[in-house]
Amino acid sequence: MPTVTAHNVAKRFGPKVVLNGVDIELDEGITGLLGPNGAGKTTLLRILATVLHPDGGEITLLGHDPASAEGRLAVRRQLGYLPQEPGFHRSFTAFEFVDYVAILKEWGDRRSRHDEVRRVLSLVGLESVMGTPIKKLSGGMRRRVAIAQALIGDPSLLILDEPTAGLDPEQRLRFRELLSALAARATVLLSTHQTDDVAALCSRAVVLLGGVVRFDGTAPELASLAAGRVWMQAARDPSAQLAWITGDGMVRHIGVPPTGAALVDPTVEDGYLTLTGATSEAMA
Amino acid sequence: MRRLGPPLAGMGGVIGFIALASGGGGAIGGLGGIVLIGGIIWFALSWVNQRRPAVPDDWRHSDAFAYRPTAGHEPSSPTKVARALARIETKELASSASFGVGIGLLLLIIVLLGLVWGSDFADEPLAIPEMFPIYVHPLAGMVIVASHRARTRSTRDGTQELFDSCPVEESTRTSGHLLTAWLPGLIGFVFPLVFAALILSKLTVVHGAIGARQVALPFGAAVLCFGAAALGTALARWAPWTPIPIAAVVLVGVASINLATAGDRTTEPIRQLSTWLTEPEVDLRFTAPHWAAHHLWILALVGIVTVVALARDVRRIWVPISLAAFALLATVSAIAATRPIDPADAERIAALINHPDDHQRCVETGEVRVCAYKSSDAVAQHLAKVVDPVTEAVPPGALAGWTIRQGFDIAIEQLDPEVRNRLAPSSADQRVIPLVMSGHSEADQGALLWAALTAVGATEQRSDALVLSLEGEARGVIALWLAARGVDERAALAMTTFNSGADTTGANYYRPWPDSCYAGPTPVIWAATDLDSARLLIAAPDDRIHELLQSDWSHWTNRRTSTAELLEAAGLDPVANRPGRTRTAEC
Repeated sequence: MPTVTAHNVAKRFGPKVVLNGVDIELDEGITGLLGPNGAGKTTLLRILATVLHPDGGEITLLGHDPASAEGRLAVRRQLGYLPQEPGFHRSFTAFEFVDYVAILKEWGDRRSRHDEVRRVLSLVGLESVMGTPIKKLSGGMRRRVAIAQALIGDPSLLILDEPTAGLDPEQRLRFRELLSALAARATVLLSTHQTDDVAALCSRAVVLLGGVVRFDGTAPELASLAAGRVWMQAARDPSAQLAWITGDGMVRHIGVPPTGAALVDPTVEDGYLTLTGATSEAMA
Repeated sequence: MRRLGPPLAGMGGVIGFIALASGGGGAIGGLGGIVLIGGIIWFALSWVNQRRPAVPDDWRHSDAFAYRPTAGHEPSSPTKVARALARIETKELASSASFGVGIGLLLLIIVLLGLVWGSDFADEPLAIPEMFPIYVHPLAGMVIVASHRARTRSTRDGTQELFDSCPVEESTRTSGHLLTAWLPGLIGFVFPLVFAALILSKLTVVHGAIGARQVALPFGAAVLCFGAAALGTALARWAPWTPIPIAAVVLVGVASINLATAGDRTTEPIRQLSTWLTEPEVDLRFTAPHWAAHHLWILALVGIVTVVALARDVRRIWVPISLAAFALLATVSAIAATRPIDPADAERIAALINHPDDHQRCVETGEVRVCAYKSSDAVAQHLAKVVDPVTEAVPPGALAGWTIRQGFDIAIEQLDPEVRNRLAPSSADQRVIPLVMSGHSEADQGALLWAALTAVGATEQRSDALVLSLEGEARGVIALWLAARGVDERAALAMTTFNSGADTTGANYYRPWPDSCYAGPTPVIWAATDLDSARLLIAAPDDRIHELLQSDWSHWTNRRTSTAELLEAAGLDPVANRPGRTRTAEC
């Protein structure tokens, strides 16, 4: 049985339709949520994190209905959530902030809570700066403080909105390492613009466009959408949908290849760009 | 240091501002100097701190990453969560700048009213606790602001969405903030005790009986501070905008002051509805406000505010029931607090005034009786000692039948009408020396002068409106000589030094009469030459002057006997003629 099911979920803000009948089912493992800005990713995550009520549709999270107070409480007890812009109490230290969130996650006993706070801070490599005020930490370190609070209590459902934003490449690798360890015991839904994160981490990828799910499959399946549509050549081909010069001076193209083009294996990014490009064309 | 910064800045700001505003003199100037030096050190340390290199990031160098699962836990009860939150929020409250300003204002009150002007309470030490509720108002006001900011911090800092995703309900978070009220409550309780101890340590004579009314006042001050935290939290839940707590402080302040000054007299029952209770302008033993009802009224208001804070997020039956219960308590206690004085109390107070001898104990010094209400024996004994040098120096009969009596100066118009209606037609004792009984040094000098003036017959025809001129009269000079026997050389010099008017500020302007705020209004005036004559008399051998006066007391104290005649008889040179007379003053 899926741990997360959302059926026909809709949400609008005033006249703007943000989600228009989203259907999604998630199991344990990591699911990457891709989509351009404004596609409705954050809104969907906020609904699944129980901080926003949908206008329509049915949702079941970890076997509970978040529409009811009891269901919401049960979900929140097993939920780890990293908002897109989590905000910090800047006068707090990293420890104090995570400690505060731990209390809000019903860790009332001080000793066990402090052990837990130290554990999650060490998971994100911040044990040596846990007494440092957040305002003195770098952007990447603050992001990791935010990730740490989401890990409190080993949640069964982890919803992360752009968790790798602001992390440098090494930190992203560490984060992948951490998330892959979590994936064995939790359902992880992460929204990202980093398609290589999806390729490296996610067993599933979901692409949201214009408030509807346009793709739901594995990362290789997403990449395969661009099979036969990616080629390299020395000069830019004006007929390509997208083209850019790579590090070795060649131009990588996505689109309908000319006859005899040197096709290359597509990446998740190619598949995503093909999907969004095709969708754009279709919409146009 | 990190946590101390904002409150120290707040404290320093308020003390520094007032030090500058007051011209930087005296105790406040000294305190301002300390704050200035402290501020410089703090800024220097902050600057050094800012210059430290960025915190190194060693995640990439972590040599052993291994996922450790949680030890797990059982969800804590809302009560336990609220207590855990309260511990953190209390630290935050204590380290906020607003709270620091409140503490700074309390320190100012301690320094100014406790250390500098503490002796103002000498005539009635029991008035000290009456001021507790007023004195904690600055802290309470700043606590409203600090609590509001604390409860709205998540919205301000953008953490609300994250917190919303947590299982703890808003009502539990509100409870956590409400529980921080113990800190301002504790300070509101301890501050009055420290303040009182400081003042009492400065008083020469402590008198008056402490009753339940006085004991309740520090608790009342604590409840006010507790209520301030509740009000700040309630406002944060219902009106989470930044200017709201400031507007609330102003509104509550204006309402309290208006209530505290309602009516014509300071014993008006309606004033019991104010948080800002002022000290009645009449000896507290002649008042009987419904103080318990007043405290219940304040308690009910705090209860209402607390429930309102929780009502934003709790939809349970106990909310309206509690609200109704507190509203009922508020109504009942308001009615009880503003009802007229109880007839039994009115009878008791009227009896104290109509028949003081039945309720006072007297100490005799020479021919003078010093009488005080039974709980104020100490002040009677003190005053008897003060005037003893005068009573010893005058011949028998000069002070026969005179009494110094506590409570002679009742402001009748300040009494409750129920008491006034019970007063005997004339309860004024015609042979009462009209001086304020206290342990203050200025009042002691006033007592000496009053006793001396009475001994020389300068108070027989006295009324409050009359200022008797003793210019050129020997008895005026003798009165100064008599009074000077009870003070040291320096005070004797001050008592007989004419101030030419160079210093037109302060009590010294009116010398030789002591500060009228402690000694009462000036009853007589002397010529400047009388003061010069008195100094000559004081400097002369004591035995000679004493013998001279005893030889013909009635002559020397006759209003027609001149100062020049007295000097001549005492073998002293006449003083040079010069214009000027002493001034009169009222507090």
